[in-house]
Amino acid sequence: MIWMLPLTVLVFLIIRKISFKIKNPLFNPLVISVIVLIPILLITQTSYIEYVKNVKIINDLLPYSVVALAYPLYELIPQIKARWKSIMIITFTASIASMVTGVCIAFWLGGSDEIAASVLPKSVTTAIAVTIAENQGGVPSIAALCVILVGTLGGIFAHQLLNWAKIKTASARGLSIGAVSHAVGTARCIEVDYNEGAYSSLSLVLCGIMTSLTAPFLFPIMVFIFDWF
Amino acid sequence: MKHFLAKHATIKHRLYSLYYTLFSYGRGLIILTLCLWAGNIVSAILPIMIPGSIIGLLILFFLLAFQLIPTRWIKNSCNLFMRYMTVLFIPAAMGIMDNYSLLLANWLPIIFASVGGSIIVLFLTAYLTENLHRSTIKSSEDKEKQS
Repeated sequence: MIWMLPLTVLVFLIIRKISFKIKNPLFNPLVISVIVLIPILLITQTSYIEYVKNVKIINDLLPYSVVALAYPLYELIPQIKARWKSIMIITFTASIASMVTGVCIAFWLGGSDEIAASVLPKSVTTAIAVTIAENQGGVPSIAALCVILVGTLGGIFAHQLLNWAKIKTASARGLSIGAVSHAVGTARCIEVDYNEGAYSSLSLVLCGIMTSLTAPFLFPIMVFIFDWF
Repeated sequence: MKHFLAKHATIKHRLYSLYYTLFSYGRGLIILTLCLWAGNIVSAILPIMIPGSIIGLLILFFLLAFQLIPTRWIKNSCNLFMRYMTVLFIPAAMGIMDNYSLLLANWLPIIFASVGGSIIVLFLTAYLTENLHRSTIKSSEDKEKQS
């Protein structure tokens, strides 16, 4: 089934071209590609495991693209220098807040510890989220799914929500989208505005590091508090 | 004859520029790979679980920031990755094919925790940034415009 790799790339490239013409945030290249590809796999009776085996090279390139984010970050150095303290405060608050809100809502709606641990790292890149979820006793595949869900919804709606709230500065838009919808949101930000994308990647990196540093302490405390009540 | 020579020259020129482009992508890719390997090694040594790719990013960032590597070595390939980044998420997003039963059993906490939590954090972060940066926003916006 060698055709799957070229097919995936071809479908994506065509949809990307169309998305530049349509310019509607609802026409998200990632979502539309998945909607197009799933029926093709179902018709040809290809299982997901088989598909992933064939497009392994795409998965393997993901860490390279994370390393490549260093370049837009480098271009932001003058802006970071001017206000690194406030950026550290913002990303720290954002990563703590996203873990606390996610876990609280999950427990409140009757999720088990397992589900709460899977929802815990929803706002960081897939690579980090899966390791965090595993360490805290969550299900890695659900964690990955939450990450993709949050990222994709962020990529589709975050810009409209921020427009609606009249937030226009590149730093506020970039930092908040990067903190919430990580790399998928960052990819979208780069499509919209390069500066915004750089802020977004800054926040993606800092939130990723802070979340992986604080989660091992924060999650047991939250589980303890909810068990106590 | 003259016409032929001119045409030939442009072909040669194009070929050279093609070689250079391929060479610059290759060089960038090698640097990215080295940074990723170094990151993986460091992450295996560190007691905390930070993915190697994040450490690799920090390594490349510091190499660029301290000007140990000229920007032009990495610029082309980094921009290539930025432009087509979304395609790399397709395999992970296709995971919805296999996990929909687990998702259906727990859809309420999963969806609401993901979406609700994210909306709260999105606005919290955006307003916090606007408030903290209000004093510096004007000067930096001017700088951004100048550059």
